[in-house]
Amino acid sequence: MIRSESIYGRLPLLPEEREYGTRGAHATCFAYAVATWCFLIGGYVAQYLGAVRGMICLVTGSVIGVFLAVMGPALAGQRYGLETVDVTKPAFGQRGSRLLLLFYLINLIGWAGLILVMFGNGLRNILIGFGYEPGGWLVGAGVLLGMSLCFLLVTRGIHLMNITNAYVGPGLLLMTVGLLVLLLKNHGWQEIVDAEPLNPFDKPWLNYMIVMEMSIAAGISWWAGVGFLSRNTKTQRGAIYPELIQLGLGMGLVCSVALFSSLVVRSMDPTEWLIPIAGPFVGVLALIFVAVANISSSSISLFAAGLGLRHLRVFHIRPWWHLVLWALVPCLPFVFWPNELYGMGGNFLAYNGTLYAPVVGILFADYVFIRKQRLNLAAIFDDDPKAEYYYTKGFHWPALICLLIGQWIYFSLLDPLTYESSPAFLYLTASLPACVGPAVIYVIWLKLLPLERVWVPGEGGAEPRVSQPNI
Amino acid sequence: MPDSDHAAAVSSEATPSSSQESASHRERVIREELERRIALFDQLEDAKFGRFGAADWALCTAVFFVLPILVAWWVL
Repeated sequence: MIRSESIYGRLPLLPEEREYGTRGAHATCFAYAVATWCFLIGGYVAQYLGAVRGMICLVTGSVIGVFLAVMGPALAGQRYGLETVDVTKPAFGQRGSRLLLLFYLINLIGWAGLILVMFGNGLRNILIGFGYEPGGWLVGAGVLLGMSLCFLLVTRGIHLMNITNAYVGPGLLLMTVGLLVLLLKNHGWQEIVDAEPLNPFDKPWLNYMIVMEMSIAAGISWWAGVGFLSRNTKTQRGAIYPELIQLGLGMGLVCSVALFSSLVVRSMDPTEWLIPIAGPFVGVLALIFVAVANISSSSISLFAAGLGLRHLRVFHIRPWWHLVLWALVPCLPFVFWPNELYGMGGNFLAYNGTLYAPVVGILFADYVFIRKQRLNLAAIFDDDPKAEYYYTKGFHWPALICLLIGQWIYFSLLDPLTYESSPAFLYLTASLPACVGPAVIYVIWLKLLPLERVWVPGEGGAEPRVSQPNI
Repeated sequence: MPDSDHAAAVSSEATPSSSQESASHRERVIREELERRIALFDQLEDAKFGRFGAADWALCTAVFFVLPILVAWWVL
């Protein structure tokens, strides 16, 4: 029971329970990063930019975004064996963190849904590759099948997912390299560079900054996933460097190959490239492999979503399969409206920036500058109103107000649904100010009005104990 | 209240259902384990979790934040 509670629950993971050394962390981050969402992102970017500028935005943006998402939360999660939402409690309070849980779940389940639609499209294109003409209904049916397969994989545990990732990750890398080789061989670098974007805005600078914004937001989106990874690594460097290199740089590079494919084939749907680029036989094999990889990628998101649901009292003692099932329920709209929701993927990417940019900025500022990388672990699991992280009725208002300020900053610069923007967006993006601004305000606020009590191990006083455990 | 109903009521108060016992046993076990782990973490030195010092911070900030911003700005 204890082992199950530490892996599938929220007990702080002890060093000897953690799965990943440095090599394992690199492999897992690689498999996590080099997943089918790269193909999605590359396809969305192809709408707005050509190959060279698109690649520069993808690589630089995702690296910047991952840096912002990782540096505070991943260090805290690794040091204390905590999953993502628990790491937010010192900054946002016990109940405030549950508001963030909503953001967290929207991100994870949104990505899972988009990948499952890709799975459904892949099934449809496989049948087309064999000469059949299936109807559009197959995409929704594919989403339902994908949900079932994810359920089977996720309920069997992290070790099976690691085994799956051990094959899927390298396989996707080989496939990506193969795609690039075929693109260069059959089309040439000049044709790729000369390919026009699919559906750009009239203003070149707007296209560039929107892609920059999507890329930073894609990097920041990793906030939802890094807790699950970091708490399972044995060393701090083993958590941070693999995440920065694989999730940031690796993802950016694979997205770029997807971008090239989209530009050449003139479609943002990844499942429509493989047969034109690789030919019917290899293309169908690649589609089958991508379908398998989609299940692997979605499963990772759903595993993290299941862990997040443990924070809700109603799920505290539910068996793991209950949580996985409930995490899958919000994916049902993707069964009925797959292509409509899939078409909104670029907006979803940008919208993640509004949710996460302020959060990661505040978490960074809180952990590094306010708490000097020291947390009161007992208070994280304590719902006693007198516990350190309960604050005012469970909410730490400075952080929540700064969060709102960050969202206001974001929407002042860019509307993620319509892409209407202010002139300042050209120079600043929206995510960067929405991340840095609240962080600076938060630090100034807490320096001027310091927290009433901060317990530091070894500096005297009785060690805090858990009065009302929330686990 | 008829004697049989009273006996049943007393009986149900005196002996909680097995699922309630199981849930409170689970809660007690988890709580004890949580306290044990918190105490362990309080004793563990930072070195047990590896180092991430000033040089790491400088390297990461320069390579993964400042440099990409400069590159993106230069291309724009």
